[in-house]
Amino acid sequence: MSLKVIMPQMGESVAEGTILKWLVQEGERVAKDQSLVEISTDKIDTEVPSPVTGILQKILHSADETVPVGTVIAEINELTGEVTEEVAEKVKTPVIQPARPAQVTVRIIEEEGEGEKRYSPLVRKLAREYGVNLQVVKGTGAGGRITKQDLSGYIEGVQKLKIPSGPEVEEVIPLTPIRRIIAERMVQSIKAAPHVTTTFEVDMTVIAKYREMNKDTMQKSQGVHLTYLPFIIMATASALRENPVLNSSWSDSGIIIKKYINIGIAVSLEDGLIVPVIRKADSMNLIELARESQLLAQKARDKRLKPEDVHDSTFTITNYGIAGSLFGTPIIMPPHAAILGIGAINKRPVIINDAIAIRQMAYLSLSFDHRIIDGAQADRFLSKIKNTLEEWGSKSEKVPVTESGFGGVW
Amino acid sequence: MKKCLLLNPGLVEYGSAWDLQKRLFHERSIGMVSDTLILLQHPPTYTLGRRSLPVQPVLDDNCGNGIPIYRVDRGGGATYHGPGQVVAYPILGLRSYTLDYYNYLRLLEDVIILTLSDFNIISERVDGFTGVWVDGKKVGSIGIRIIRGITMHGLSLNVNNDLTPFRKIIPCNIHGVEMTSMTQISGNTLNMKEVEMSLVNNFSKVFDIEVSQIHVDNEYPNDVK
Repeated sequence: MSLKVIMPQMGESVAEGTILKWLVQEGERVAKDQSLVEISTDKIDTEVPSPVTGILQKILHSADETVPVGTVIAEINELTGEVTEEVAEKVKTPVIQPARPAQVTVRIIEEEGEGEKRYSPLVRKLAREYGVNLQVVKGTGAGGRITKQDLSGYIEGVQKLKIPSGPEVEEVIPLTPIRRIIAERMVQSIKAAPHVTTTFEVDMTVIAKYREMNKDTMQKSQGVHLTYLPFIIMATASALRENPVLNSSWSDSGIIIKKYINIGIAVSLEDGLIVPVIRKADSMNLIELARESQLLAQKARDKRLKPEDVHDSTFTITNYGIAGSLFGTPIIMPPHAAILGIGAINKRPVIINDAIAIRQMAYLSLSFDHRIIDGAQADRFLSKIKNTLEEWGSKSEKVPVTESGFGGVW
Repeated sequence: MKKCLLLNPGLVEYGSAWDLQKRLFHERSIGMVSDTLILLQHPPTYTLGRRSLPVQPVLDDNCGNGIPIYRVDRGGGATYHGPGQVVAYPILGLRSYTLDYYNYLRLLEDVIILTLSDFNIISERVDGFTGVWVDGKKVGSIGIRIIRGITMHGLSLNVNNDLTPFRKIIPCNIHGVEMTSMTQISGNTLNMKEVEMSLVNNFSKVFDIEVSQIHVDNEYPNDVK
């Protein structure tokens, strides 16, 4: 069986690693856990162990190459407990003298393998058919050799065991490094920071109209798809500027207020979650924010994020509304002080001036670290975001005019 | 509470200390010893990490002034060690503390930051530049190696040491970086033992670990060369 070796995830903030040196060459044999390759990032050196015993079939990235986390860097052909002739022929170990006949080759390799015994062809054939690792079967023959009876006894035993223990009922999915890191960060956050979530309902009708009016032009002239997200990022950045305590970190010696506003956008991946960063979000206009968020999300899905794309965020926005969720209670991403969750934007009947109107509504939820922020501060922040969004377009002074003529409007 | 042994052998030649590290690393890997913190000083030595820039003045014109140069198996760039600098090599099974290798770097930075604050020095991190900084100058450096979850190499903190040898290299691959020391910042010569004690305390705090010193036998003498 061929297995893929990937560039490991060394830390949540690390997106790539550099191959320093292959310790095993193509065609050579590796034992399980034997180091295959040395890799390094700016401050950390490490090695990737082989996941199985086998033959290193192919090296896909050579020394000095820097590749993103998750990239397949090599393929290993797994060897099971016994060595089959087929695999043995592929093995190019230095002990084989080229002049020796082929039959001898097989035996040499069997003897060479650590802890491997010789098995009769019949036993080997049976083991192959039933997928049995012969090393775990106890032999009763001469010198501990495994007989046919030993093997059929073992197979029967295994089959009996299988019925009640039922691997069909439960299944263990191995933890990927990214899963472990997410788990660790989430637990760390919820343990350290007392979480409180507060929710505001925001009327997005003005934004929806504005977006409807401008999205085609923006697609044509700027090549960006205008979603609701950049409006919310912009409103959040300006609210962070007014409420710097939301843009901070807890430390035992004091609350660290960040003078830069770098907003992380949670992007869900097939196998987890990553939070690329929009730097100095408060200095960007709508088009820039739309373009940047779109670009980062695409890079995240393509696994092309660079370390600097995920570093140094000061606040997070998570957009679970995409999947239809109305509101949530997101967990703060350490070391931030708060996280903003965006719910689905739906038409709802609301009361305006004692009349019922149909408006585009969304719930915005803010989870905050109660060590740093009190409820009143959090609500002030959230109501600032609400006001910016609801009064979009009524104030136009903040945004720089762009070449295309966009910009003057909002 | 997890337990950690402390080895404090004094001034140790880099090569012997490296051997000691490798031995403990191996023994920690096979579970023969518990987590161990080695705390020591080195005689003047340059070390080059695997990522050291190929151009290092000290190598180019052989101007090391007889200071030995080691190419070592850790991340990070070039650095200088010398008497008056505290060096700490934690040999840890990292998984009990963090699964994120970069979080480990941040924890080591915390140890240095807290130690400095014990001596009334306010220090900080600089984003993207691992290490500890005071007013734009670097006072603490970090370079590590992690194999199968076991750590080696670690951190150095400039206390009273001579800073001039740093000028012959590109410390940590940062061009134009200026190194500083606790003495230079505070204007006083500090007691090495006090700094070491504070560092051990803060290491124990940050990693939430109980540190107990063990007797050092003559196997690792203070062999100053």
